[in-house]
Amino acid sequence: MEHLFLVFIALPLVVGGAVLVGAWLLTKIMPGDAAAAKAAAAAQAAAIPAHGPDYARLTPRRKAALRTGIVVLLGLALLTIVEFFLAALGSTALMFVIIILKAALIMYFFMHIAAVWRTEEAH
Amino acid sequence: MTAVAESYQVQTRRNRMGFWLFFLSESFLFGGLLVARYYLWGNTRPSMEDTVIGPLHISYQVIPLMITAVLLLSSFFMNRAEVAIANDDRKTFSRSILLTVLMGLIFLLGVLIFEWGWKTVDGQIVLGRHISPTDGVFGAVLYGMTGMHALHVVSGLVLLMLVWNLGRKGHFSPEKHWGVEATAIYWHYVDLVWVFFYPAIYLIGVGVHAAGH
Amino acid sequence: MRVLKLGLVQGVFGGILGWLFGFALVIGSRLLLGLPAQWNPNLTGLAAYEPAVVVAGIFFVVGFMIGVGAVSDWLKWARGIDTPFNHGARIPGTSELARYFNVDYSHKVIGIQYAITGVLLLGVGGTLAMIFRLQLAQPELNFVPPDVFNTMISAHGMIMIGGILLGVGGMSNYLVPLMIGANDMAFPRLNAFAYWINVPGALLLCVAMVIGGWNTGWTGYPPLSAQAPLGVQYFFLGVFFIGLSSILGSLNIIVTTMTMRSPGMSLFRMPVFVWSAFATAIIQLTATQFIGLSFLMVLVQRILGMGFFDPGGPVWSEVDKWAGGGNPILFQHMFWFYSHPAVYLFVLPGLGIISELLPVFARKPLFGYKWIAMSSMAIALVGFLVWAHHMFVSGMSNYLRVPFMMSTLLVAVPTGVKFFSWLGTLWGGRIEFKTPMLFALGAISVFLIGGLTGPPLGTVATDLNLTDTYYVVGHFHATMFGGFIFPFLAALYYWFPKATGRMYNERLGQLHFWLMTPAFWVMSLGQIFVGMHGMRRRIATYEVGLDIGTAQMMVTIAGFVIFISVLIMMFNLFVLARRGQRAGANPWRSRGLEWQVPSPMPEMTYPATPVVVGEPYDYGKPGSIYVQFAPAAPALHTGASITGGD
Ligand code: HEM
Ligand SMILES: [Cu+2]
Repeated sequence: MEHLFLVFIALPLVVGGAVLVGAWLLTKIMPGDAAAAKAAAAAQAAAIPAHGPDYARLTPRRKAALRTGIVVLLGLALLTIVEFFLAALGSTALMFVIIILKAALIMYFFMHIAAVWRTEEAH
Repeated sequence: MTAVAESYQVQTRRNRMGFWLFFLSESFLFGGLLVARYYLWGNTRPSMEDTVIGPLHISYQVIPLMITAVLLLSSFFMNRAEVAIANDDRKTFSRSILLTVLMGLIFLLGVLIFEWGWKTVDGQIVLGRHISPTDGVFGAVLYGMTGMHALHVVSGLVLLMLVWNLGRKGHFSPEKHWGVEATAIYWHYVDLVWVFFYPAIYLIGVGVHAAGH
Repeated sequence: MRVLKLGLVQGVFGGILGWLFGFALVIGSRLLLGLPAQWNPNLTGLAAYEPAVVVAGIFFVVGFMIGVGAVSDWLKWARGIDTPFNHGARIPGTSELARYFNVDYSHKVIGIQYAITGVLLLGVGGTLAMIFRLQLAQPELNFVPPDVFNTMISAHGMIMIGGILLGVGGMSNYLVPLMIGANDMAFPRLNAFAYWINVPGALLLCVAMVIGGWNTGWTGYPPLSAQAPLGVQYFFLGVFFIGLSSILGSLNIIVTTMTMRSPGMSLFRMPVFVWSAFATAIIQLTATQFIGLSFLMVLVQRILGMGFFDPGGPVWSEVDKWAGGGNPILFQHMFWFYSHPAVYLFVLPGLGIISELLPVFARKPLFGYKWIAMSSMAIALVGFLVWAHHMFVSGMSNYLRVPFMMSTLLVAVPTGVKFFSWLGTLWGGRIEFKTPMLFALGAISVFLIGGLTGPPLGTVATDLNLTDTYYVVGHFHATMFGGFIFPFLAALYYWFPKATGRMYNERLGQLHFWLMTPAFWVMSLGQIFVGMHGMRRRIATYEVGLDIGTAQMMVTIAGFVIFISVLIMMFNLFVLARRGQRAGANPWRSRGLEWQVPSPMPEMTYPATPVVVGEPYDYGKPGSIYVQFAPAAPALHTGASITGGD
């Protein structure tokens, strides 16, 4: 079983590296951030009353964020179900692809990995 | 760093980087457990398919899937809480955090009760309806992986309760909520680990039956 | 009663309370569950309560950290109370000395705490070595009983490694912020936490010797460690917590170097020591988890019967459903995946110190700066790929031997780069033989012995004969002394005037050097010699017939000379130097940032922002400037970005 072991000790390293590089590349090619920041500024300017408990207005920016959350959740759920049935087929290789996809989704959308590379605080 | 504190932004950027480095380090811990799993189990795993529980005779195989789904859902609510606090919506924040905690607890109980199978035998609490930690490498690795993960779930729950309490007292603002962000990425990280662990424990490899069955 | 208020004392007090709590917790829950209080009635004393002792050990650390006050601020934050951060004594009205026994957030205090604790640990470990070297001085002696001998060599190994880790932490915590022009680390509270957790960790290591000891050597291989006496559990725990400190400390170093460099200090204008501290931090951050995990796995195998490394299945499993299948070789893989990179993390900072000192005392630019910087990174990365060269005879698959032999020999390349750069720097320089420089040169000579004995071990054919002999002992003592001890001593002498404002006694410093270095050559070559003549590792005595008595005696005598020479240094630095000459800001005429401010340094090292405008090591080039100080006006923010851009 030693060869398997070698593969799997390399795997976390390679996958981790690939996800990091991928996320960084995504930040370069996705126009999302800049556009969203503009929308946020516009919303802010639309003079919603000062902070407070009933400031629960749905700004366009917030709506977009919530929508992203739902889409990501659905994606993750779908992938998990596919994964479950793939197991019955015994297709380990495909399962690894799914694992990496799921990990990338979580790291990019939920954990905002791109924020690590951002120098200024753009929320 | 100076007597005049660094600006919140600068410190937050450092915190974020520090947190991610911590995750990198933790990945080696969980990676080590995965290494142990693949080294010791190879292309096998303890079979669950034929063990059934409860009046509905649900196959054991379905339970991990269910608790996995619950954990994913908790991540979703965590995300909502973070969005809420970034928009100064404290009510939704509180509610979402509590939902996250609830899902986390369900996950934890799922592991403890169904997976580890705490039960009483002759008035003594023992482990292992399905498999016990002393059942050779299968038991050892299964309990090692789920245990280390559960430990992180518990600490995540503690963090969640802390930020819930602070949020209730109005400690966070859209500009300053590093505490929420940290808890959120920590919680998502716990979920991320499970993304790797779930298939490694329950899906990959050929199910092996216990000798006694 | 002022003493009782010291953090250290309160920490020990809290630790004891924690220990009792943990012990009672386990015994209490056992009784509640209707189990007998004793875990294993066949054993006597504490060993009969092993799980309780283990949990108590964990709570000992928790209690210590709470007692010492390392988590007070975080506990307040958790309740929403902000704690201001200010430099200076944390408790007003206490003496400057008391700062070192309390939780203090200044990186200069923490650096010195690390270094002193490290020296203390090295002293404890060294004393152990002196005792068991007496046993080995002549064949067939009966001075130290065999089981005590085993405990002593095991404790010697790990306590020395703990000392080295603390020494490394001391150098990087003290020097990295100074060298990059920052006033503190990125996370000062975490920094204090990372230092203090070493103290209970080291205490556990020492306690392990008296609660039964252990006989596994520093490597703790199962199955032996799964059956060793109780002490092995505190050995595991101690290493675990010292490892936690490594992880948190290195995280801090990385963020500090990435985000807090002075304006103008691009990555390739950093002092080389910062490069090596950075490379070290990468190893510590990641690999350390593996030794923690592997030890944890043996720990739970012992008390919970989880048979990771147990081929036969647990002894007391009731249900024999899926018994057995464990594999002890997995432990060796995991252990060396940390411990080989670890040997590089011991030496990288030291090699950085050598590269730092040579140009100053040769008054010449550092030869091949970029190559030196990159070779540190290369050593760190290639170091991850060679671990199985410790396992050539372990029973792992044979086909793994050759790949690991090749990757091992590959490490010689970046190491060679460093040697040639040192030679190039010295070549044609006007060398001033001051004590720090002597130690740097001594380090090179000693590290050369270690480096040259490495390839025969990395080559399978020769290693099969040399493994588990004293040759290996000679090899790694030479690498560790050359790569860590000598440079560390050089650093102590070099930065001593900066830290204290006083000069040590140069004569005594030279005496220290001239006693220690030849003695070390004798010791090291002696170990290699007896190893090649059949002296095995980790045995309490040897036969007269091996005919190595004289060499063994010389090794022992040389060891004592080294020990005494270190005592001379202590006398020099801690006693004589109190009345030493005032050193002035820059006694070595260094270009480094920290030498441009007064000695001892003010609480805020850099009230005015240093701006880097030139190359760090252009010694002897007329008109070249490394650093300027901006007028103390608006704080310039560090331009450094995470990607390192420039
Ligand atoms: C030229 C580069 C080096 C090579 C090729 C090399 C090779 C080896 C090999 C093959 C072994 C295993 C010997 C055996 O147990 O049979 C070994 C042991 C060891 N080496 Fe090195 N080494 C090198 C440099 C270093 C450095 C820089 C250090 C740093 C301190 C170091 C520290 C150690 C230690 C501590 C051991 C003993 C481990 C034990 O307790 O078994 N080596 N070396
Ligand atoms: Cu090695």
